[in-house]
Amino acid sequence: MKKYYYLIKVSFERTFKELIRYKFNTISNIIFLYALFMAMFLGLKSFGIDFGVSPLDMGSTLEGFIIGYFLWAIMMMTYSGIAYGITNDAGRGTLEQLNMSGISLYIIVTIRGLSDLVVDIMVSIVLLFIIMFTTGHYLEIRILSILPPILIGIVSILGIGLICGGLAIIFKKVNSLLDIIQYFLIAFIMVSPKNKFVYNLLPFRPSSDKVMQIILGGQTLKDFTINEYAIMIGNSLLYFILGIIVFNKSVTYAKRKGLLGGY
Amino acid sequence: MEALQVINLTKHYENVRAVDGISFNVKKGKICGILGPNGSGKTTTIKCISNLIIPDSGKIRVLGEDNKKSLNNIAAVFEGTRNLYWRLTPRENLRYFAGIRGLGGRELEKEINILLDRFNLTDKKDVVVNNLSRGMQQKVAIAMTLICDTEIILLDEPTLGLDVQSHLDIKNILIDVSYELDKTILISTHDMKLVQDICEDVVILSNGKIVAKDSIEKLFDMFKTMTYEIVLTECLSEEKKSSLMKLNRAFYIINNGSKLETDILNEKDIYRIVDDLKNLDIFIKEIKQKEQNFERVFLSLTAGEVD
Repeated sequence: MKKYYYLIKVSFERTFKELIRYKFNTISNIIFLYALFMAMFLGLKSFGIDFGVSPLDMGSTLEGFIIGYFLWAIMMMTYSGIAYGITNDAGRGTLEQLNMSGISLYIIVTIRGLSDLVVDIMVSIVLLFIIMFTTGHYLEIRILSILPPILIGIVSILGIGLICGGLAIIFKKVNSLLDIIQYFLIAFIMVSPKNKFVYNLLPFRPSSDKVMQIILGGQTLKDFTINEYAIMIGNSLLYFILGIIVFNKSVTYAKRKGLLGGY
Repeated sequence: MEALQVINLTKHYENVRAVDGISFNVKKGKICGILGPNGSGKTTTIKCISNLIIPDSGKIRVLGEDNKKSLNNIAAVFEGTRNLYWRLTPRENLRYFAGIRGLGGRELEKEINILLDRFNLTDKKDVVVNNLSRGMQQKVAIAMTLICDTEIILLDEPTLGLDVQSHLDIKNILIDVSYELDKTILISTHDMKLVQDICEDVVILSNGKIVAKDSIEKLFDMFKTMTYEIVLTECLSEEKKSSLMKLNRAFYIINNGSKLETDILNEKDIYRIVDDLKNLDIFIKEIKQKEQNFERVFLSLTAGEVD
């Protein structure tokens, strides 16, 4: 157990150190997310909001749009952290070192993904407050209430990151695919299929729904049924387990073909 | 005691046989070199031992145990400026790579200090790796293998691209690590001088097969020839070069044709060579006997397959 403690410790340390040392990248990420939001927000405002979309979707309300964007930012950063983290490691040769550690590679990249997640949530919260301040639309953010569904739901995004990271190890030049998927994540928050089964099967969707209900509908964690929690956890586990399977299969395939680290 | 056993290792890529049933052992605490032309299977062998490539067949044992179960006894540095996080300092890199192997605590911090001191990196401990020289980066990478406290260290081209001083530093570090810390080191390299200077045993690969494996001394004995360097009064013309090649003797033309090298088994042969050259109107300025060179042993074994 102690070895995992040290693994978690150094993963967090590295995330924070690199966050500071790659400060241009960190700041430009925040500026990009902010600029993208403002462009969309002002566009939405000027065209009016009479599209007939449900309040819990992208939001016929600007508040719904703000919180939807906040959730997408967390998802996008988590997904990017894990998928691009793997491609970066493969590119600079450190993936080979990680693979020789004696701890399974998926555990190392997942723990690193979690350490990135903590930073991402902090950055997203800062971004959310900047957005609220700029737009003048103040939301009642109950951080402790929204964190559990976010943390449960984001595990599904870690799974998707692992799937894409695994594909990147094999196919190498998949940056275009990784970029496109970032924007597909928007659909997981906005789309509302009629079929309940499909709805619950979309990654992160059950959790993002609960966050919307807490912020916009004034609900609390106690208002959700066991069944709803089970769906949130089941959804996340499904994608996370799928991610681990695809990632491990990809690593084994890459080792057979001599592709691991060969960029 | 055998620290590493490679038994009948085979690996194909599509239709290319990268490694073809090779077997060799490395004794505990020894430095062994793997030599071979480009594409001979050196890196594939190192990566199979590191469990980064799954072989088609064969076994690899580390201290008697399957290599997949004993990764905590293998550390490696691969070719080039890879292996490290460039925005972390040497200290942070060592801490990170120890951490992902489940090592940490106060003892580790002490070990890091000792290693940084041993590698003369103490004054650079807080400089990000990106800002270090190539030689220093290589020292940090080797220190990284040591902080992981493994029995076996695999090095792929450890001196590639280093200046003379860094080359010497790395050579001394490897000798130091092997003798003082009793580590088993396997080096894959093109650097004949490094192999000649620090390796006790050598495995020579060509086309994925072992063409020789023995101690350096025995390989020298196997190719016990005398190498003579013949300095000419003028550079050889193309016509004279082709006449020279028609003689029943191997000449290595160097320095743009102003020098020749040849290996002889019998001292009397040198008189015949002088006569042959005289008959071709090639005039000699100076003749000197050279020290035995491992490069020549390697070239003899791989028979012109070097790039």
